[in-house]
This record gives sequence, structure tokens and C-alpha cells, in this order.
Amino acid sequence: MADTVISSGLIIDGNLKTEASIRIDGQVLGRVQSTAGVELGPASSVSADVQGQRVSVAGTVLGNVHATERVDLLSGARLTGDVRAPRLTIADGASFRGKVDMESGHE
Amino acid sequence: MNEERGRMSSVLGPTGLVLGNVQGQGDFEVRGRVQGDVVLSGRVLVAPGGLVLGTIEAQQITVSGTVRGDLIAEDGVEITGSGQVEGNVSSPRVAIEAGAKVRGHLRTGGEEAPAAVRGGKDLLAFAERAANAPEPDSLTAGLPAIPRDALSRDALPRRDAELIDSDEEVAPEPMRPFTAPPGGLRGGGLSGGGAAGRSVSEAAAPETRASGGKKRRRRRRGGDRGASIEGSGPETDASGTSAQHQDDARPEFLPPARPTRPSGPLPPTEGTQASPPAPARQGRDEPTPGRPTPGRPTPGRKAHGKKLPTFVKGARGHLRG
Repeated sequence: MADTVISSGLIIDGNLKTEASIRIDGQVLGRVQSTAGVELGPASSVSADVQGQRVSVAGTVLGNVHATERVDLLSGARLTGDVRAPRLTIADGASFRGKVDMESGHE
Repeated sequence: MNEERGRMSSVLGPTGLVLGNVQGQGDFEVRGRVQGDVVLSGRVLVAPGGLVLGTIEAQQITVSGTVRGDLIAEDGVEITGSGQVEGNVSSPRVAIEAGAKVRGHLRTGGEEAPAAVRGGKDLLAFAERAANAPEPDSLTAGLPAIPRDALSRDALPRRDAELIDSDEEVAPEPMRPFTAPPGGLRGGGLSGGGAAGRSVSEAAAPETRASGGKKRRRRRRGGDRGASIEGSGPETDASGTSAQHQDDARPEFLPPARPTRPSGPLPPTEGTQASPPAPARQGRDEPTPGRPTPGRPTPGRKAHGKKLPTFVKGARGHLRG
């Protein structure tokens, strides 16, 4: 169970930063930063960069995704931006438009 | 911890920081820090250790952490013992536990402010209504209107000034004893002769209207009876104000119209009698005013000039002994 949960219906008009896991089912009109796992649910929407240790995207992201460990784009994900992570999976049904850089995931 | 989270749909963890506003539907528990406003249609809980720097507007707000900003709730606000609030609280119900630290204005009564989620139009309409609405908890409700400039805040005792400034609903204190200024007093009002005071005095002191006329017997219902009626009585102007008005706190004019002693022979009066207004007012077949009648006590009638405690109902509604 994530430390921070933004359920659907909640809108964060600003940046969200934490040192623990995040699960987002709502909207974030700003950056999402974590040193732990970031889970973006199917109804979620992030309008800026996402940073985390492990990032799993099932919703909409309009920004870059940086992960220190891995990035997973699940079915239903819509990512418009670059991905920087040492490991990446793109599931069937995910929509992705951007660059991929797997050389150094630490950024 | 999990069951706690189950009640609140959204949680901001202890290391979480939101730099911006939070809005929308649902509940929200703040265990971290929010630097911005929180406007929700559900419940907001600021857990111990949580911090919100901004206004919280929700259906129900519970504060166990720190809030530096206003709390506006449609349902109720609860501040527990570990809560600290620095801001105004506006809610129909407020519960503050012992140990809580609260600093700000509290408002429970009056129209509730619409939640911001309903839109700016409602807020404007509410502000208009609030500006035009009459004050329900006015300290002067029921009393004759007093010209505003007569009530200078500096003139009031300190506590009264606080009451006026405060938003709390408090039971109004009884008015301070009203001492008449010498030489000019008509009915109520600190500004003697003010329009409001005039209207009150006319109702309360009917006898002065009969300027120059016969003294008719009037049922005295209190009010100003200090006008000295000598002979035809003092000249009164249109407002009923008498230029020769004498303060009815003076002992010579104290005798009431109605006898307040049981019928029976009265003890002889002592000393010289000042002009007695009482017989004139009673309209009985009395000797002309100005002539004391010490040796003729009439059953049920008081001797002139004898100083008796009378209770005059002042225009402000209190009693003056």
C-alpha cells in the first residue's frame, strides 16, 4: 500500500514530492517526484515530469519519465515525453511517443 | 494505520510535500505538508505531524496537526488536543478539545459561506447577502436607535468594545447605568435631543406635550417624568423637549403618580415642600401646585416633597432608583 495515495477526483494543482511510494489515480498538474516507487493508475493524469525509483504508468503523462530502476508502461498508458531508465517495458496497448534513453537512469 | 487510511480516500504521506493547491472530490488526509489551499467536497483530516499552510475548505475538517490558514467547513470543524490552528474558523459547528491551540476568529452563526467548489458566483451572491443582511445579534436589538457617533468605541468600557468587535455570539450584557447629563435629557439616547431620542421621549413623556394646557391625568408608564410642571408647565417645542426640563433624578420630582403606599393617613411631611408636580399630574381636584399641603393627608396619596424611592423606567428599559 502506497504511502501517498491521490485518489481519483482529487486534483493537485502543483508539484508533489515525497520520499516514499506514491499511487496516483487523480490529476497532478505539476511534477511528481519520489525516491521510491511511483504508480500512476489508469485514470491518472500527470502534466509534467515524473521521477521515481520505479515508475509504472497506466494513465496519461504529458512529460518526461525518469526512473532510477525501471519504467513500465502498462496497457492503457499514454505517454508523451522522453523516458530515461535502465530498464523499460512497454505493454501491448500502451501508447508512447518520445525518446528512450537507457544508458544512465540516474538523473 | 490501514483501517485509518481506508476511511480517507486520499492520503499525503508523512514525507509528502504538495507545493500547490489541492482540490476536488473526496476525502484527504494530510500527514505531510501542503503549501497551498485545500478545497474539497469531502472531509479533510490533518493528522498529527501534518501541516497545511493555506486555507482548508471542506465538508468536515478535523485538525490534529498544524494549520496556518482559515478553516471553512459546511458541516463542522473539530480541533483535537494536538491541533494547532492559526487562522479563522467558519463553520456551523466547532469542537475544540482541551489542549488545542487556536488563534483566530470563530464564526458559527449567520449564513454559511458556500464552498468554493460551487463556484465564484455563489461566493459573490453570498457576499452581497451578507452585506445587506440585518445584524441578527446586535447588542442594541430592541432598544431605541442611538446615533452612531454617540457611541464612540473609546467611550465604552473595554469589554463592550471587545464584544462589538468580536464575531462570537454572546448574550448582550445589560446596559450600563445611564446617568442623565445635567440640563438636557429627553427620553433615551446619549445625544440628548437626537432624532431617535426624541421619538422615544414623545412616547414616554406625554405630559409635556400639553404645553400650556390642562394637566390631564395620564397613566404613567414610566419614561421621562422629570419635566417640571409649574402652573401651565414649561414651554415645549415640537419635539417635546422642554427648555426648562429638569432632571427627574432630583429629589423634588420623585413622587409617583400612583400611590405606592397602602391607603391610610400619612405621616406629616417635614420641611418645606418644593413645587409638587404630582397633584398636577394626577389631575385631581388638588390645590394649585406650588402650595404644599402638609396637614392634609389624603388616603392613598403621598405627601408632597417626601423623598421616596421611586423607580423610573428609563427610556433604555432599565430601572433607575
